[in-house]
Amino acid sequence: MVTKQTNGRPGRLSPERLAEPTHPPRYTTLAERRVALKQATEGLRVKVRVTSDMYGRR
Amino acid sequence: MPDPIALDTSFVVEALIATQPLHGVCNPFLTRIFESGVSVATSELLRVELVEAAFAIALKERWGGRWRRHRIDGRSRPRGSRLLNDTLHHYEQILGSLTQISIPLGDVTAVATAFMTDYGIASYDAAHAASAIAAGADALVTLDTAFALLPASFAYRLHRPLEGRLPPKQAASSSGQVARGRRLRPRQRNLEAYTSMDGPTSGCPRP
Repeated sequence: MVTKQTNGRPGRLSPERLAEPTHPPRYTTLAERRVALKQATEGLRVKVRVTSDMYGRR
Repeated sequence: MPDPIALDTSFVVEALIATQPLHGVCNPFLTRIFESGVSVATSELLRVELVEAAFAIALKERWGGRWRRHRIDGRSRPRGSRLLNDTLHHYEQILGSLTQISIPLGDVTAVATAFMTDYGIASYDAAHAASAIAAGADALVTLDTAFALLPASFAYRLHRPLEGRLPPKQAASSSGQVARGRRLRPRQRNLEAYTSMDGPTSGCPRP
């Protein structure tokens, strides 16, 4: 079994450690954030189907 | 919606690339995550996997099904580099619109190793699962049934955006039904864990 435990759960980082890699939204307003998300998910098109083996999975 | 919620590469790829077959399912689900205002947790590994995917796309566009044999073909690299820049730019836009926790690989290697040795989970999956747990995420959004190898005792839920949103045949091929029928049949114990993680009592509440 997994033996390393923190805060009663295996492998959970402490709140202090977790604060370091936590980043707030870069875009300040909700409208900007919504536009950014829409642009991010609608602009990228490729000619082939991306399968899991193409990013190293089995 | 669980807060934070962890994202696996399989979900991010489908949400990010508009030509992917499950984009129509994953993109609205990502919007739901955004609208609910929860934080997202990702492994640092996700960025590396996106880089890998970008160059693999360039190879596959040039060589089709024989792309693996041509990994060292330098002629695909300019296209790969452009795709890489585009992919990371769009990924940064997603992250920039959310509160995000990027778990360093160095913080999860011990737990990921334990997952691999204890449950036979593959290295990349182990890193994502360990990162989700490190961030305190109660759910992991994924399309990958391999996470079912982890026992339900981790109080850690698989959140699949596909349920109830696809025609029956397509939904079955991307759900535990196929895992039960094909991939996970020899692992009955883990299958039970998978089923219990997927049960209505462990499903994530709708916002």
